[in-house]
Amino acid sequence: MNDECLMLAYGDGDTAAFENLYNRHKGGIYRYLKRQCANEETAEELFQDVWMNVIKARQRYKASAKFTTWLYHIAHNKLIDHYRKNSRLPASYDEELPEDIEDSCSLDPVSEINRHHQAKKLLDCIGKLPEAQRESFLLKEESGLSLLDIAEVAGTSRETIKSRLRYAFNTLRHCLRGLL
Amino acid sequence: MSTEDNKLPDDTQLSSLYSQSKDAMPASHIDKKILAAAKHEATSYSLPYNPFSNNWHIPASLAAVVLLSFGIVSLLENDLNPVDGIIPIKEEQIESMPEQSQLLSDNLDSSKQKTIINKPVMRKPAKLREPASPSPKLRSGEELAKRLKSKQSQKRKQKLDTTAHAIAESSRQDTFMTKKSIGQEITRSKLISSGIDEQTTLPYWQYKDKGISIRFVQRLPDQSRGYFIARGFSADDAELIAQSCVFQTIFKNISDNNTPSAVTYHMKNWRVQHKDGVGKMKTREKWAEQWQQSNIPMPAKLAFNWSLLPTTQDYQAGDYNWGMAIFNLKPAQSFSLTLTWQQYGKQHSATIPNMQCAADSHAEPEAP
Repeated sequence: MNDECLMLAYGDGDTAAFENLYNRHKGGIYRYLKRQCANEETAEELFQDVWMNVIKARQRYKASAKFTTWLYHIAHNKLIDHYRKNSRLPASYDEELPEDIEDSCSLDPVSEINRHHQAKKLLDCIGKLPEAQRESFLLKEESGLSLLDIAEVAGTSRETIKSRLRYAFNTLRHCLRGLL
Repeated sequence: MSTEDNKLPDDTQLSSLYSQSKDAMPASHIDKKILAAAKHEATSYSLPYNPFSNNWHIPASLAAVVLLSFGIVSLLENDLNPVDGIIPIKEEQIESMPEQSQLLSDNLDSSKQKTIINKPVMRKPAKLREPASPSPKLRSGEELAKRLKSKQSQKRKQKLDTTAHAIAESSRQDTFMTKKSIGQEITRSKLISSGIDEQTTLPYWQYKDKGISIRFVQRLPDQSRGYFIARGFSADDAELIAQSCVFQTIFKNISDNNTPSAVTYHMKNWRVQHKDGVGKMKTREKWAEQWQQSNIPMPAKLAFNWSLLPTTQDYQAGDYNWGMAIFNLKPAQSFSLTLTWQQYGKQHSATIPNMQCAADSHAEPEAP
Protein backbone atom coordinates (compact mmCIF):
# COMPACT_ATOMS: atom_id res chain seq x y z
CA MET A 1 0.00 0.00 0.00
CA ASN A 2 1.42 3.41 -0.87
CA ASP A 3 2.02 6.20 1.63
CA GLU A 4 -1.03 8.19 0.60
CA CYS A 5 -3.37 5.22 1.13
CA LEU A 6 -1.76 4.50 4.50
CA MET A 7 -2.29 8.09 5.62
CA LEU A 8 -5.91 8.02 4.48
CA ALA A 9 -6.37 4.73 6.34
CA TYR A 10 -4.93 6.34 9.46
CA GLY A 11 -7.36 9.19 8.96
CA ASP A 12 -10.08 6.56 9.24
CA GLY A 13 -8.63 5.32 12.53
CA ASP A 14 -6.29 2.54 11.34
CA THR A 15 -3.33 2.90 13.72
CA ALA A 16 -1.46 -0.01 12.09
CA ALA A 17 -1.36 2.05 8.90
CA PHE A 18 0.28 4.88 10.81
CA GLU A 19 2.84 2.51 12.32
CA ASN A 20 3.71 1.27 8.87
CA LEU A 21 4.06 4.84 7.59
CA TYR A 22 6.14 5.85 10.59
CA ASN A 23 8.52 2.93 10.15
CA ARG A 24 8.99 3.81 6.48
CA HIS A 25 9.95 7.41 7.08
CA LYS A 26 11.23 7.76 10.62
CA GLY A 27 14.88 7.17 9.68
CA GLY A 28 14.97 9.63 6.81
CA ILE A 29 13.21 12.39 8.69
CA TYR A 30 15.31 11.84 11.79
CA ARG A 31 18.60 12.01 9.90
CA TYR A 32 17.40 14.99 7.85
CA LEU A 33 16.75 16.89 11.09
CA LYS A 34 19.71 15.59 13.07
CA ARG A 35 22.25 16.46 10.43
CA GLN A 36 20.96 19.99 10.15
CA CYS A 37 20.64 20.76 13.85
CA ALA A 38 23.95 19.33 15.02
CA ASN A 39 22.23 18.88 18.36
CA GLU A 40 20.62 15.54 19.06
CA GLU A 41 18.16 16.82 21.66
CA THR A 42 16.85 19.52 19.37
CA ALA A 43 16.62 17.06 16.49
CA GLU A 44 14.59 14.67 18.66
CA GLU A 45 12.29 17.48 19.73
CA LEU A 46 11.72 18.61 16.15
CA PHE A 47 11.28 15.01 15.04
CA GLN A 48 8.46 14.55 17.56
CA ASP A 49 6.90 17.86 16.50
CA VAL A 50 6.87 16.76 12.88
CA TRP A 51 5.07 13.51 13.65
CA MET A 52 2.67 15.22 16.04
CA ASN A 53 1.74 17.52 13.16
CA VAL A 54 1.10 14.51 10.95
CA ILE A 55 -1.04 12.92 13.67
CA LYS A 56 -3.06 16.09 14.20
CA ALA A 57 -3.60 16.56 10.48
CA ARG A 58 -4.80 13.00 9.92
CA GLN A 59 -8.37 13.99 9.14
CA ARG A 60 -7.43 16.98 7.01
CA TYR A 61 -4.94 15.09 4.84
CA LYS A 62 -5.86 14.84 1.17
CA ALA A 63 -4.16 12.41 -1.14
CA SER A 64 -3.87 15.11 -3.81
CA ALA A 65 -0.37 15.84 -2.54
CA LYS A 66 2.40 13.29 -2.32
CA PHE A 67 2.80 12.19 1.29
CA THR A 68 6.61 12.33 1.31
CA THR A 69 6.63 15.87 -0.08
CA TRP A 70 4.12 16.92 2.54
CA LEU A 71 6.06 15.22 5.34
CA TYR A 72 9.40 16.78 4.41
CA HIS A 73 7.67 20.12 3.95
CA ILE A 74 6.55 19.93 7.58
CA ALA A 75 10.08 19.01 8.66
CA HIS A 76 11.55 21.87 6.62
CA ASN A 77 9.11 24.34 8.21
CA LYS A 78 9.93 23.03 11.70
CA LEU A 79 13.60 23.66 11.07
CA ILE A 80 13.00 27.19 9.84
CA ASP A 81 10.80 27.91 12.87
CA HIS A 82 13.53 26.54 15.09
CA TYR A 83 16.16 28.76 13.48
CA ARG A 84 13.94 31.78 13.88
CA LYS A 85 13.00 31.03 17.47
CA ASN A 86 16.60 30.64 18.51
CA SER A 87 17.89 33.57 16.47
CA ARG A 88 20.30 31.09 14.95
CA LEU A 89 19.20 32.02 11.51
CA PRO A 90 20.97 30.08 8.84
CA ALA A 91 23.12 32.84 7.50
CA SER A 92 24.00 30.92 4.40
CA TYR A 93 20.50 29.84 3.52
CA ASP A 94 20.30 31.82 0.35
CA GLU A 95 23.99 31.72 -0.40
CA GLU A 96 24.92 29.78 -3.47
CA LEU A 97 28.64 30.20 -3.17
CA PRO A 98 30.50 27.34 -1.57
CA GLU A 99 32.38 28.08 1.58
CA ASP A 100 35.96 27.06 1.83
CA ILE A 101 35.76 24.32 4.41
CA GLU A 102 39.20 22.91 3.79
CA ASP A 103 40.58 23.96 7.15
CA SER A 104 37.78 22.49 9.18
CA CYS A 105 37.90 19.23 7.27
CA SER A 106 41.60 18.76 6.90
CA LEU A 107 42.24 15.09 6.31
CA ASP A 108 44.96 12.77 7.26
CA PRO A 109 45.04 10.16 4.47
CA VAL A 110 47.02 7.76 6.62
CA SER A 111 44.43 7.41 9.36
CA GLU A 112 41.40 7.74 7.08
CA ILE A 113 41.87 4.47 5.30
CA ASN A 114 38.63 2.62 5.66
CA ARG A 115 35.15 3.38 4.45
CA HIS A 116 33.84 3.70 7.96
CA HIS A 117 36.12 6.59 8.60
CA GLN A 118 35.39 8.01 5.19
CA ALA A 119 31.68 7.95 5.96
CA LYS A 120 32.28 9.61 9.29
CA LYS A 121 34.38 12.26 7.63
CA LEU A 122 31.68 12.77 5.05
CA LEU A 123 29.22 13.56 7.85
CA ASP A 124 31.68 16.11 9.25
CA CYS A 125 31.96 17.69 5.81
CA ILE A 126 28.16 17.72 5.42
CA GLY A 127 27.96 19.51 8.76
CA LYS A 128 30.16 22.26 7.42
CA LEU A 129 28.14 22.87 4.27
CA PRO A 130 26.04 26.04 3.98
CA GLU A 131 22.53 25.22 5.24
CA ALA A 132 20.77 25.46 1.89
CA GLN A 133 23.26 23.14 0.22
CA ARG A 134 23.19 20.76 3.16
CA GLU A 135 19.40 20.63 3.08
CA SER A 136 19.33 19.95 -0.66
CA PHE A 137 21.91 17.18 -0.26
CA LEU A 138 20.04 15.56 2.65
CA LEU A 139 16.68 15.80 0.90
CA LYS A 140 18.17 14.08 -2.11
CA GLU A 141 19.79 11.31 -0.09
CA GLU A 142 17.11 10.75 2.53
CA SER A 143 13.72 11.51 1.04
CA GLY A 144 13.88 9.82 -2.34
CA LEU A 145 11.97 12.79 -3.72
CA SER A 146 12.21 14.03 -7.30
CA LEU A 147 13.90 17.29 -8.24
CA LEU A 148 10.56 19.09 -8.46
CA ASP A 149 9.42 17.74 -5.10
CA ILE A 150 12.67 18.78 -3.42
CA ALA A 151 12.26 22.25 -4.90
CA GLU A 152 8.73 22.38 -3.52
CA VAL A 153 9.83 21.31 -0.05
CA ALA A 154 12.63 23.88 0.00
CA GLY A 155 10.34 26.58 -1.43
CA THR A 156 12.54 27.33 -4.40
CA SER A 157 12.98 26.49 -8.07
CA ARG A 158 14.40 23.27 -9.48
CA GLU A 159 17.27 25.20 -11.06
CA THR A 160 18.26 26.52 -7.65
CA ILE A 161 18.18 23.00 -6.22
CA LYS A 162 20.33 21.73 -9.07
CA SER A 163 22.81 24.50 -8.48
CA ARG A 164 22.86 23.90 -4.69
CA LEU A 165 23.46 20.21 -5.24
CA ARG A 166 26.33 20.80 -7.65
CA TYR A 167 27.98 23.17 -5.22
CA ALA A 168 27.43 20.68 -2.41
CA PHE A 169 29.05 17.84 -4.40
CA ASN A 170 32.04 20.00 -5.30
CA THR A 171 32.51 21.17 -1.74
CA LEU A 172 32.21 17.66 -0.33
CA ARG A 173 34.63 16.27 -2.89
CA HIS A 174 37.04 19.06 -2.06
CA CYS A 175 36.65 18.28 1.63
CA LEU A 176 37.22 14.56 1.05
CA ARG A 177 40.02 14.94 -1.45
CA GLY A 178 42.61 12.23 -1.14
CA LEU A 179 40.04 9.81 0.20
CA LEU A 180 37.77 9.31 -2.78
CA MET B 1 9.92 20.55 -19.85
CA SER B 2 12.41 17.87 -20.88
CA THR B 3 13.28 14.91 -18.70
CA GLU B 4 16.84 16.24 -18.60
CA ASP B 5 15.53 19.38 -16.90
CA ASN B 6 13.91 17.27 -14.21
CA LYS B 7 16.92 15.05 -13.65
CA LEU B 8 18.39 15.29 -10.18
CA PRO B 9 22.16 15.89 -10.25
CA ASP B 10 23.91 12.89 -8.76
CA ASP B 11 27.28 11.83 -7.43
CA THR B 12 27.17 8.07 -7.04
CA GLN B 13 30.42 7.89 -5.10
CA LEU B 14 29.21 10.36 -2.48
CA SER B 15 25.77 8.73 -2.35
CA SER B 16 27.31 5.35 -1.80
CA LEU B 17 29.52 6.70 0.97
CA TYR B 18 26.60 8.52 2.56
CA SER B 19 24.45 5.39 2.52
CA GLN B 20 26.82 3.90 5.10
CA SER B 21 25.61 6.51 7.57
CA LYS B 22 21.94 5.68 7.19
CA ASP B 23 21.82 3.67 10.39
CA ALA B 24 21.02 6.62 12.67
CA MET B 25 17.48 6.14 14.00
CA PRO B 26 15.39 7.81 16.67
CA ALA B 27 15.59 6.27 20.15
CA SER B 28 13.04 3.56 20.90
CA HIS B 29 11.37 5.64 23.65
CA ILE B 30 10.59 8.27 21.00
CA ASP B 31 9.07 5.61 18.73
CA LYS B 32 6.87 4.47 21.59
CA LYS B 33 5.84 8.00 22.45
CA ILE B 34 4.83 8.85 18.89
CA LEU B 35 3.00 5.60 18.26
CA ALA B 36 1.13 6.00 21.54
CA ALA B 37 0.15 9.54 20.57
CA ALA B 38 -1.05 8.30 17.17
CA LYS B 39 -3.13 5.59 18.80
CA HIS B 40 -4.56 7.97 21.36
CA GLU B 41 -5.50 10.51 18.69
CA ALA B 42 -7.18 7.88 16.53
CA THR B 43 -9.17 6.37 19.39
CA SER B 44 -10.13 9.62 21.08
CA TYR B 45 -12.07 10.67 17.97
CA SER B 46 -13.97 7.43 17.76
CA LEU B 47 -15.35 7.60 21.32
CA PRO B 48 -19.08 8.28 21.48
CA TYR B 49 -19.93 11.81 22.45
CA ASN B 50 -20.60 12.21 26.14
CA PRO B 51 -22.05 15.57 27.12
CA PHE B 52 -20.86 15.10 30.70
CA SER B 53 -17.26 14.41 29.79
CA ASN B 54 -14.50 16.95 30.27
CA ASN B 55 -14.82 18.04 26.63
CA TRP B 56 -17.54 20.54 27.52
CA HIS B 57 -15.46 23.48 26.28
CA ILE B 58 -15.97 22.71 22.55
CA PRO B 59 -19.80 22.85 22.58
CA ALA B 60 -19.61 25.76 25.02
CA SER B 61 -17.30 27.69 22.66
CA LEU B 62 -19.56 26.92 19.71
CA ALA B 63 -22.59 28.16 21.62
CA ALA B 64 -20.72 31.32 22.60
CA VAL B 65 -19.68 31.92 18.98
CA VAL B 66 -23.26 31.46 17.76
CA LEU B 67 -24.61 33.82 20.43
CA LEU B 68 -21.95 36.45 19.75
CA SER B 69 -22.43 36.19 15.98
CA PHE B 70 -26.17 36.59 16.41
CA GLY B 71 -25.65 39.63 18.61
CA ILE B 72 -23.18 41.26 16.23
CA VAL B 73 -25.32 40.58 13.17
CA SER B 74 -28.33 42.08 14.94
CA LEU B 75 -26.32 45.16 15.82
CA LEU B 76 -25.10 45.55 12.26
CA GLU B 77 -28.55 45.09 10.83
CA ASN B 78 -30.01 47.68 13.12
CA ASP B 79 -27.15 49.95 12.16
CA LEU B 80 -27.59 52.04 15.25
CA ASN B 81 -24.10 52.05 16.66
CA PRO B 82 -20.73 52.06 15.05
CA VAL B 83 -18.89 48.82 15.51
CA ASP B 84 -15.18 48.92 16.26
CA GLY B 85 -14.96 52.53 15.26
CA ILE B 86 -16.27 51.89 11.75
CA ILE B 87 -19.33 53.75 10.65
CA PRO B 88 -21.35 51.30 8.58
CA ILE B 89 -22.46 52.67 5.23
CA LYS B 90 -26.19 52.54 4.74
CA GLU B 91 -27.71 51.34 1.50
CA GLU B 92 -29.24 54.79 1.04
CA GLN B 93 -25.76 56.31 1.29
CA ILE B 94 -24.48 53.89 -1.31
CA GLU B 95 -27.33 54.75 -3.62
CA SER B 96 -26.56 58.44 -3.33
CA MET B 97 -22.84 58.06 -4.03
CA PRO B 98 -22.25 59.80 -7.34
CA GLU B 99 -19.11 57.82 -8.13
CA GLN B 100 -20.93 54.55 -8.06
CA SER B 101 -23.58 55.40 -10.58
CA GLN B 102 -20.93 56.96 -12.78
CA LEU B 103 -18.83 53.86 -12.50
CA LEU B 104 -21.74 51.69 -13.44
CA SER B 105 -22.33 53.58 -16.60
CA ASP B 106 -18.76 54.54 -17.39
CA ASN B 107 -17.54 51.01 -17.62
CA LEU B 108 -15.04 51.44 -14.80
CA ASP B 109 -13.01 54.42 -15.80
CA SER B 110 -9.75 53.92 -13.92
CA SER B 111 -9.43 57.40 -12.50
CA LYS B 112 -12.91 57.23 -11.04
CA GLN B 113 -12.36 53.82 -9.62
CA LYS B 114 -9.29 55.20 -7.95
CA THR B 115 -11.40 57.70 -6.06
CA ILE B 116 -13.69 54.98 -4.83
CA ILE B 117 -11.13 52.41 -3.91
CA ASN B 118 -8.82 54.82 -2.21
CA LYS B 119 -11.39 56.75 -0.34
CA PRO B 120 -10.10 55.86 3.12
CA VAL B 121 -12.55 54.16 5.40
CA MET B 122 -11.99 56.44 8.33
CA ARG B 123 -11.74 54.92 11.75
CA LYS B 124 -13.60 57.58 13.62
CA PRO B 125 -13.99 57.47 17.36
CA ALA B 126 -17.25 55.78 18.17
CA LYS B 127 -20.01 58.36 18.31
CA LEU B 128 -23.35 57.52 19.75
CA ARG B 129 -26.00 58.37 17.23
CA GLU B 130 -29.56 59.00 18.21
CA PRO B 131 -31.83 56.27 16.93
CA ALA B 132 -33.97 57.62 14.13
CA SER B 133 -37.38 58.55 15.42
CA PRO B 134 -40.15 56.49 13.92
CA SER B 135 -42.21 58.07 11.22
CA PRO B 136 -45.50 59.40 12.56
CA LYS B 137 -47.25 57.46 9.82
CA LEU B 138 -46.06 54.16 11.28
CA ARG B 139 -48.05 53.06 14.24
CA SER B 140 -46.46 49.74 15.13
CA GLY B 141 -43.15 47.91 14.93
CA GLU B 142 -44.78 45.27 12.75
CA GLU B 143 -45.87 47.87 10.23
CA LEU B 144 -42.39 49.38 10.27
CA ALA B 145 -40.83 45.98 9.60
CA LYS B 146 -43.25 45.31 6.72
CA ARG B 147 -42.53 48.63 5.06
CA LEU B 148 -38.82 48.22 5.51
CA LYS B 149 -38.94 44.76 4.00
CA SER B 150 -40.91 45.93 1.01
CA LYS B 151 -38.59 48.92 0.53
CA GLN B 152 -35.54 46.70 0.72
CA SER B 153 -36.97 44.23 -1.76
CA GLN B 154 -37.71 47.07 -4.22
CA LYS B 155 -34.18 48.38 -3.85
CA ARG B 156 -32.72 44.92 -4.31
CA LYS B 157 -34.74 44.52 -7.51
CA GLN B 158 -33.60 47.92 -8.77
CA LYS B 159 -30.03 47.04 -7.93
CA LEU B 160 -30.26 43.73 -9.75
CA ASP B 161 -31.59 45.52 -12.82
CA THR B 162 -28.80 48.05 -12.63
CA THR B 163 -26.29 45.30 -12.11
CA ALA B 164 -27.52 43.33 -15.10
CA HIS B 165 -27.21 46.49 -17.16
CA ALA B 166 -23.72 47.05 -15.83
CA ILE B 167 -22.64 43.53 -16.71
CA ALA B 168 -23.75 44.07 -20.26
CA GLU B 169 -22.04 47.45 -20.37
CA SER B 170 -18.82 46.27 -18.88
CA SER B 171 -18.55 42.91 -20.56
CA ARG B 172 -15.34 43.98 -22.23
CA GLN B 173 -13.63 44.49 -18.89
CA ASP B 174 -15.76 41.87 -17.20
CA THR B 175 -16.11 44.00 -14.10
CA PHE B 176 -18.95 45.75 -12.35
CA MET B 177 -19.76 47.61 -9.20
CA THR B 178 -22.10 46.31 -6.57
CA LYS B 179 -21.55 47.49 -3.02
CA LYS B 180 -19.12 49.40 -0.95
CA SER B 181 -18.60 48.33 2.59
CA ILE B 182 -15.87 46.76 4.67
CA GLY B 183 -15.66 43.04 4.06
CA GLN B 184 -17.85 43.20 1.00
CA GLU B 185 -16.92 43.36 -2.60
CA ILE B 186 -16.99 46.71 -4.31
CA THR B 187 -16.28 45.37 -7.75
CA ARG B 188 -17.00 41.90 -8.93
CA SER B 189 -16.75 39.86 -12.04
CA LYS B 190 -16.78 36.22 -12.92
CA LEU B 191 -13.08 36.03 -12.22
CA ILE B 192 -11.90 39.30 -10.70
CA SER B 193 -13.10 40.96 -7.55
CA SER B 194 -11.93 43.73 -5.32
CA GLY B 195 -13.07 45.36 -2.14
CA ILE B 196 -12.02 46.04 1.39
CA ASP B 197 -10.28 43.21 3.20
CA GLU B 198 -12.09 42.34 6.41
CA GLN B 199 -9.01 41.81 8.52
CA THR B 200 -6.86 44.70 7.40
CA THR B 201 -9.63 47.10 6.28
CA LEU B 202 -7.42 47.81 3.28
CA PRO B 203 -8.32 47.36 -0.39
CA TYR B 204 -7.77 44.01 -2.04
CA TRP B 205 -7.89 42.63 -5.59
CA GLN B 206 -8.51 38.99 -6.29
CA TYR B 207 -8.44 36.70 -9.30
CA LYS B 208 -10.22 33.38 -8.95
CA ASP B 209 -10.70 30.79 -11.61
CA LYS B 210 -11.42 27.11 -11.18
CA GLY B 211 -7.69 26.38 -11.04
CA ILE B 212 -6.18 29.18 -8.96
CA SER B 213 -7.01 31.94 -6.56
CA ILE B 214 -4.68 34.86 -5.95
CA ARG B 215 -5.47 37.76 -3.68
CA PHE B 216 -3.48 40.96 -3.30
CA VAL B 217 -4.13 43.05 -0.20
CA GLN B 218 -2.57 46.50 0.07
CA ARG B 219 0.07 47.02 2.72
CA LEU B 220 0.59 50.55 3.98
CA PRO B 221 4.13 51.94 3.69
CA ASP B 222 4.09 52.40 7.47
CA GLN B 223 3.38 48.70 7.93
CA SER B 224 6.41 47.85 5.82
CA ARG B 225 8.61 50.30 7.69
CA GLY B 226 7.59 48.88 11.06
CA TYR B 227 7.82 45.26 9.93
CA PHE B 228 11.30 45.50 8.44
CA ILE B 229 12.84 47.81 11.04
CA ALA B 230 11.71 45.27 13.66
CA ARG B 231 13.64 42.63 11.71
CA GLY B 232 16.95 44.41 11.64
CA PHE B 233 16.72 46.77 8.66
CA SER B 234 17.95 50.33 9.02
CA ALA B 235 15.34 53.05 8.62
CA ASP B 236 16.81 53.94 5.22
CA ASP B 237 16.67 50.38 3.89
CA ALA B 238 13.17 49.83 5.28
CA GLU B 239 12.18 53.05 3.53
CA LEU B 240 13.30 51.58 0.20
CA ILE B 241 10.87 48.71 0.68
CA ALA B 242 8.09 50.92 2.01
CA GLN B 243 8.30 53.12 -1.08
CA SER B 244 8.15 50.18 -3.49
CA CYS B 245 4.45 49.26 -3.37
CA VAL B 246 4.01 46.14 -1.25
CA PHE B 247 1.00 43.83 -1.29
CA GLN B 248 0.26 40.89 0.96
CA THR B 249 -0.41 38.04 -1.44
CA ILE B 250 -2.13 34.69 -1.01
CA PHE B 251 -1.83 32.14 -3.81
CA LYS B 252 -3.90 28.94 -3.77
CA ASN B 253 -4.25 25.99 -6.08
CA ILE B 254 -8.02 25.48 -5.95
CA SER B 255 -8.28 22.73 -8.54
CA ASP B 256 -10.63 20.20 -7.02
CA ASN B 257 -10.20 16.53 -6.27
CA ASN B 258 -11.95 15.53 -9.49
CA THR B 259 -9.44 17.32 -11.66
CA PRO B 260 -6.40 17.91 -9.45
CA SER B 261 -3.58 19.60 -11.24
CA ALA B 262 -0.32 21.18 -10.18
CA VAL B 263 0.10 24.89 -10.78
CA THR B 264 3.38 26.65 -11.43
CA TYR B 265 3.97 30.34 -11.66
CA HIS B 266 7.09 32.34 -12.46
CA MET B 267 6.78 35.84 -11.10
CA LYS B 268 9.50 36.95 -13.53
CA ASN B 269 6.95 36.53 -16.32
CA TRP B 270 4.34 38.75 -14.69
CA ARG B 271 3.93 42.21 -16.16
CA VAL B 272 3.08 45.44 -14.36
CA GLN B 273 1.52 48.00 -16.68
CA HIS B 274 1.41 51.59 -15.46
CA LYS B 275 1.21 55.08 -16.93
CA ASP B 276 4.93 55.18 -17.68
CA GLY B 277 5.16 51.82 -19.39
CA VAL B 278 5.46 48.15 -18.55
CA GLY B 279 7.63 46.80 -15.77
CA LYS B 280 8.31 43.65 -13.79
CA MET B 281 7.86 42.64 -10.19
CA LYS B 282 10.79 43.24 -7.88
CA THR B 283 11.65 39.69 -6.87
CA ARG B 284 13.76 38.27 -4.04
CA GLU B 285 16.66 37.91 -6.43
CA LYS B 286 16.50 41.57 -7.52
CA TRP B 287 16.42 42.66 -3.89
CA ALA B 288 19.35 40.35 -3.07
CA GLU B 289 21.39 42.17 -5.72
CA GLN B 290 20.41 45.49 -4.19
CA TRP B 291 21.21 44.37 -0.64
CA GLN B 292 24.76 43.58 -1.71
CA GLN B 293 25.34 47.33 -1.82
CA SER B 294 24.00 47.79 1.72
CA ASN B 295 25.29 46.65 5.05
CA ILE B 296 22.23 44.66 6.02
CA PRO B 297 22.66 41.96 8.68
CA MET B 298 22.25 38.45 7.32
CA PRO B 299 19.33 37.55 9.67
CA ALA B 300 17.47 40.61 8.37
CA LYS B 301 18.13 39.55 4.77
CA LEU B 302 16.89 36.08 5.55
CA ALA B 303 13.75 37.40 7.24
CA PHE B 304 13.15 39.54 4.16
CA ASN B 305 13.61 36.58 1.88
CA TRP B 306 11.11 34.47 3.78
CA SER B 307 8.61 37.33 3.95
CA LEU B 308 8.33 37.58 0.17
CA LEU B 309 6.19 35.30 -1.95
CA PRO B 310 8.58 32.91 -3.71
CA THR B 311 9.57 34.03 -7.20
CA THR B 312 8.57 30.69 -8.61
CA GLN B 313 6.73 27.82 -6.99
CA ASP B 314 4.80 24.66 -7.77
CA TYR B 315 1.51 24.03 -6.01
CA GLN B 316 -0.29 20.70 -5.81
CA ALA B 317 -4.09 20.75 -5.61
CA GLY B 318 -5.04 22.30 -2.27
CA ASP B 319 -1.63 23.87 -1.64
CA TYR B 320 -1.35 27.52 -0.80
CA ASN B 321 1.26 30.03 0.22
CA TRP B 322 1.37 33.65 1.14
CA GLY B 323 3.94 36.39 1.28
CA MET B 324 4.60 39.91 0.19
CA ALA B 325 4.70 40.86 -3.47
CA ILE B 326 6.60 44.02 -4.36
CA PHE B 327 5.72 45.90 -7.51
CA ASN B 328 8.54 48.43 -7.73
CA LEU B 329 6.09 51.33 -8.04
CA LYS B 330 5.52 54.48 -6.05
CA PRO B 331 2.89 54.82 -3.30
CA ALA B 332 -0.61 55.49 -4.64
CA GLN B 333 0.41 54.57 -8.20
CA SER B 334 -2.19 52.78 -10.34
CA PHE B 335 -1.37 49.79 -12.47
CA SER B 336 -2.68 46.65 -14.12
CA LEU B 337 -1.11 43.30 -13.37
CA THR B 338 -0.85 40.50 -15.91
CA LEU B 339 -0.34 37.15 -14.23
CA THR B 340 0.79 33.99 -15.98
CA TRP B 341 0.83 30.43 -14.69
CA GLN B 342 0.90 26.89 -15.99
CA GLN B 343 -1.83 24.40 -15.24
CA TYR B 344 -3.53 21.49 -16.95
CA GLY B 345 -0.48 21.42 -19.21
CA LYS B 346 -1.23 24.88 -20.54
CA GLN B 347 -0.02 28.40 -20.09
CA HIS B 348 -2.71 30.71 -18.67
CA SER B 349 -2.77 34.43 -18.17
CA ALA B 350 -5.10 37.00 -16.67
CA THR B 351 -5.01 40.74 -16.14
CA ILE B 352 -6.25 42.44 -13.02
CA PRO B 353 -6.96 46.03 -14.05
CA ASN B 354 -6.90 49.18 -11.97
CA MET B 355 -4.92 47.99 -9.00
CA GLN B 356 -3.45 50.63 -6.77
CA CYS B 357 -0.51 50.87 -4.41
CA ALA B 358 -1.31 52.08 -0.90
CA ALA B 359 -0.82 55.79 -0.42
CA ASP B 360 1.88 56.97 1.96
CA SER B 361 -0.36 59.23 3.96
CA HIS B 362 -1.56 59.58 7.49
CA ALA B 363 -5.15 60.26 8.43
CA GLU B 364 -5.50 63.71 9.91
CA PRO B 365 -6.79 63.61 13.47
CA GLU B 366 -10.27 65.00 13.76
CA ALA B 367 -10.65 68.48 15.12
CA PRO B 368 -11.84 68.40 18.72
